[in-house]
Amino acid sequence: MNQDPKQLLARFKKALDKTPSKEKLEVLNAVSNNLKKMIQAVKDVKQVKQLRK
Amino acid sequence: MTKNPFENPDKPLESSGGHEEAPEQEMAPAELESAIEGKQEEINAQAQELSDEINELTSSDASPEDFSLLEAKLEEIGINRFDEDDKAMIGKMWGWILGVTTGYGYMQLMETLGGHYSNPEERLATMGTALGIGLAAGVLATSASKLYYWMQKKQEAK
Repeated sequence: MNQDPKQLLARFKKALDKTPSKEKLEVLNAVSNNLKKMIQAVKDVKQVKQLRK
Repeated sequence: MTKNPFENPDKPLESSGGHEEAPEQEMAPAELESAIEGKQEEINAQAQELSDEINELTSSDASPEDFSLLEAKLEEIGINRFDEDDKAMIGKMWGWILGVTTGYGYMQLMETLGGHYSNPEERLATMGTALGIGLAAGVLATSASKLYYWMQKKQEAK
């Protein structure tokens, strides 16, 4: 089953709306922490790329 | 297949990991709503930062090693870039891209080989053939990519 990213995001938002506030904050914290890790991963790759030059 | 945490939008979400910043003590409803709003703003800013960083990395001379390293790092922190659905979608996209380019290439080739169209009907017929070939190539490429992922899955299961 293929899913459009926008459709996926709409489903996520719908599910998030149904989530109680406390859990919602936990989910958002998890998303934020994952984003932090992803940003750091990209920064690391950029650093390796600089060192390789 | 990666478990999709929001497969059922009618079911409330559960967080999976990354609890470092979760509040330990009970918060008042107003305080909680304000924290949620603040976190959503933070996520928007982070998403923008991530997008900028990726643009910066890919806009210059990014090599295949850079992408492999990024993929390895994302897997290391438990974020797989693509699940099986994404892979099938990417396979389909490549199929269509290949199909359209093959069709267009065929049309160009016919033109170069001297098939200068003397009338619109002839041109239309050639375009129809080209599109047909493109469509067939697209279907073939889609099936090939699906087969490739199926074989990869089988290999991983061994």
